[in-house]
Amino acid sequence: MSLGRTFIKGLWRENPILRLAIGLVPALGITHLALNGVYLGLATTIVLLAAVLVKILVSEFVSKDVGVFVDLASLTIFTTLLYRLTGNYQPELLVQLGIYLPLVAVNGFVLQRLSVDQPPSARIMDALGMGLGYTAVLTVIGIIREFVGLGQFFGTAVLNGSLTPFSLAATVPGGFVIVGLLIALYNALSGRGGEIDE
Amino acid sequence: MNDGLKLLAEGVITHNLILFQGLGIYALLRFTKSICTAAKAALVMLAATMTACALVWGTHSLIPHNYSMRLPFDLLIALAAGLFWHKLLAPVFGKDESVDLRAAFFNSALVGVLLAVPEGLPEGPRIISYGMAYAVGYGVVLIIMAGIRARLELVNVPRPFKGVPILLISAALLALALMGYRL
Repeated sequence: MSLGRTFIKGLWRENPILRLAIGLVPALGITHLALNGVYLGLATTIVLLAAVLVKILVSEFVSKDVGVFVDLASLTIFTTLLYRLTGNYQPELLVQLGIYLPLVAVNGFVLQRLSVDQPPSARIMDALGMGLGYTAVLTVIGIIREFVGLGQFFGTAVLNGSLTPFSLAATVPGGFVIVGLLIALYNALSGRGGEIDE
Repeated sequence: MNDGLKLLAEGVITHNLILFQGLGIYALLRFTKSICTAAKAALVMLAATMTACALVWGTHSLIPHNYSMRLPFDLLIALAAGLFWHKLLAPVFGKDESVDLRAAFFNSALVGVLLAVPEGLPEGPRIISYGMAYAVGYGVVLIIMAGIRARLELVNVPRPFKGVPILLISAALLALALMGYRL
């Protein structure tokens, strides 16, 4: 597969949330605000990309079994660094994200992409494409939940009392429904549907 | 006694890890194919969480109180507890398992429980009962969802909703049913 195709597949055809249904924790837990979705998506992409670079650099020297521990160590280090940087520059955002920012280190999407065996250049393009696809979907989910649940668009009130917001959409159960409907829409558009991929 | 029941109600109903915190979704989607698999995943989570909480208790004096510095310790503890139970239980579960239960030993729910340990929570047995209550809640939801999933296989679900969408919407309905207890 060409590098361009490897990059593009994460955006739609093999999107982590819509197609693979992995890394759903932030999609349900924290995307009641669109900004949270953008930030957490970008944070996940940065951590994934950094961990992929480390994996490429050390893959010559460590065995596959030890590689798993190297992955976990690099994920922990990069997540902690990002957590501290966010705390220094955006303390309010850090409070909003709560435990979900540290959980990037054990995000199923990140762990799954690290376990895929590919050449180094394809690995980087895959991480970039998948990360951007993940960020895009988290943002869309955030926009829908924020608009329906709070009547806002990126923090700006747009309904102005003309329609009562449906606050359930901003809760985790509301997130389950919205993510479920989005995946069903994706299935309908792409002609998929059926069993869950392992 | 009342405190224990309150903690259990919190872990199982009002602050359920899966339904109200959105943690452990991988398990919800992959380990609910049968009640047996869900029960095994629930057992693994219970054992790993209680071990991790015991480790938090045991290493309390070594763990920094600064939250941002706690993350590596919490991850390390979760990994150690997960690996310990993986070594112990993997032969018991056998190789014919339809899903790979390795992910159950080290997941977002386990780390989430450790990260969410309240600052003021008294140490000692209470922290283990805290972990147990949340792990029981996690297990109960997995087993209920496995039952719902078995029933869903008998009905004619529209094709785009088959698989993940119908499971997520069913989980939302279960969460809504329990939401009344949060008010």
